[in-house]
Amino acid sequence: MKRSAFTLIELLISLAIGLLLVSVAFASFRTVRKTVERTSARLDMHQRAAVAYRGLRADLSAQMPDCAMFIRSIIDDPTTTTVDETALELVFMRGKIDIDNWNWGNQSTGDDNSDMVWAQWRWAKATATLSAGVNRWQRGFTNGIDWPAPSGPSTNNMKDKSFYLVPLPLRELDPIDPWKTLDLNVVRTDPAKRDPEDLGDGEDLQHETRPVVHQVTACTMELVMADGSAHTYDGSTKHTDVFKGIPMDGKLTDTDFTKSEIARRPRLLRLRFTLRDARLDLEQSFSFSLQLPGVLPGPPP
Amino acid sequence: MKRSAFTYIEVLAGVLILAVGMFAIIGLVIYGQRLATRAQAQATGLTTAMSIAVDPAPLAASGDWIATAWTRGGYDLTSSGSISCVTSGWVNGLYVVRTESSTAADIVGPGVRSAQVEVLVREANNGRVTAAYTTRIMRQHTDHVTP
Repeated sequence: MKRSAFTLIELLISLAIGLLLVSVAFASFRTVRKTVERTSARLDMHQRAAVAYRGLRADLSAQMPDCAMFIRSIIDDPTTTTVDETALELVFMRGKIDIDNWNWGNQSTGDDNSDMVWAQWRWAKATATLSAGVNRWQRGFTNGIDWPAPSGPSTNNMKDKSFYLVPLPLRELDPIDPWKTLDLNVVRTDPAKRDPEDLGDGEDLQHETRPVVHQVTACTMELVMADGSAHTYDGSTKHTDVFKGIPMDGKLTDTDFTKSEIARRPRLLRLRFTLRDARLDLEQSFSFSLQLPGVLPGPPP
Repeated sequence: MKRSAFTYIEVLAGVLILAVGMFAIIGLVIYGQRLATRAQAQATGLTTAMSIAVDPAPLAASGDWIATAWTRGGYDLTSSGSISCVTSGWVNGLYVVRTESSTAADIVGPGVRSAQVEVLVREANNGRVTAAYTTRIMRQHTDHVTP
């Protein structure tokens, strides 16, 4: 038989096979695309988690062991007129000790301890952000007003004298409102005479804090003390813990070292946060632990 | 025979080639996805290893499968000889094996000793090692701390 075209049956079979292939391919592509999107979102979350860990580790590994620190868990309280924000705050001083000249009271030369700054890591539920910031570094200024010394001859007027402002390391913090103590890091206590650009204080630190990771829907911090006890902060209760600084000027020669302030400092920070991908409605939790200055408590749990 | 159109065999061969091409594309996409999973493990593999090195008990919610999946070994810091413990489990979507070992020479003082820590992080789906981290830590027994 001479053939010049397909028969109807041949065409129908070919068409059926083609349609079957296309439908299989379509379903496969759809599944693969969905899987790839989820994998990509999870990769993005892993990368954001790593960014948070590395940033916090960089700050904590430079933590000054002799400086006070605090952690606050704040919960929104609808019964009060003030609007609180559910948040976690971890504040500590970052920096190194300049062995050559570590007299931090010396503000005349400005060449010592120039890298000491307060650091803050903060999670806010309302904005679902994990933020971090450090004080601005020291700044020199010339006093332009009459500022007589509290005692001594009147010729001790500090007008036209040069000063450096540096973040002030502290061993004691106000146990109720530690930010208040950080704000004492000013040249003048009289608000009317304060330098408007005062650096190194709590207000400046709040101002300098910027988001590091977005879409952090939950966050928990846990501090493990030298005695192995753990304190958890997750924003479900309102709580502030202030840890005193430790003296490094010879007071460590306590007869019982284990009773010294250094032995009571937190040794480990455990962090757990949940990241969210809003587009795919995906969530994943990440857990990291970071060592704080001092010996780790043992034995391991 | 004079031919003026495709034969049935030719059309079937064409469909077969099309099918092979489509499955090749799907295979490439799946391979890409596998690479992305590997990249995901590499993104947090080392950070997880560094984290677990200092703490074999990462923070987990109560009843969390991460917490319940961890296995831990005993570790007596007051011992005068060599001690070691192996901890393993899932964290951050990765399987982690942590080994902490300390010899008699690592004893610093009563209840205080240093230890060698090795952490291996494996991918979840194929067990491939994605990160390895070794460090040395110092531990003080909590019984020797009296706040």
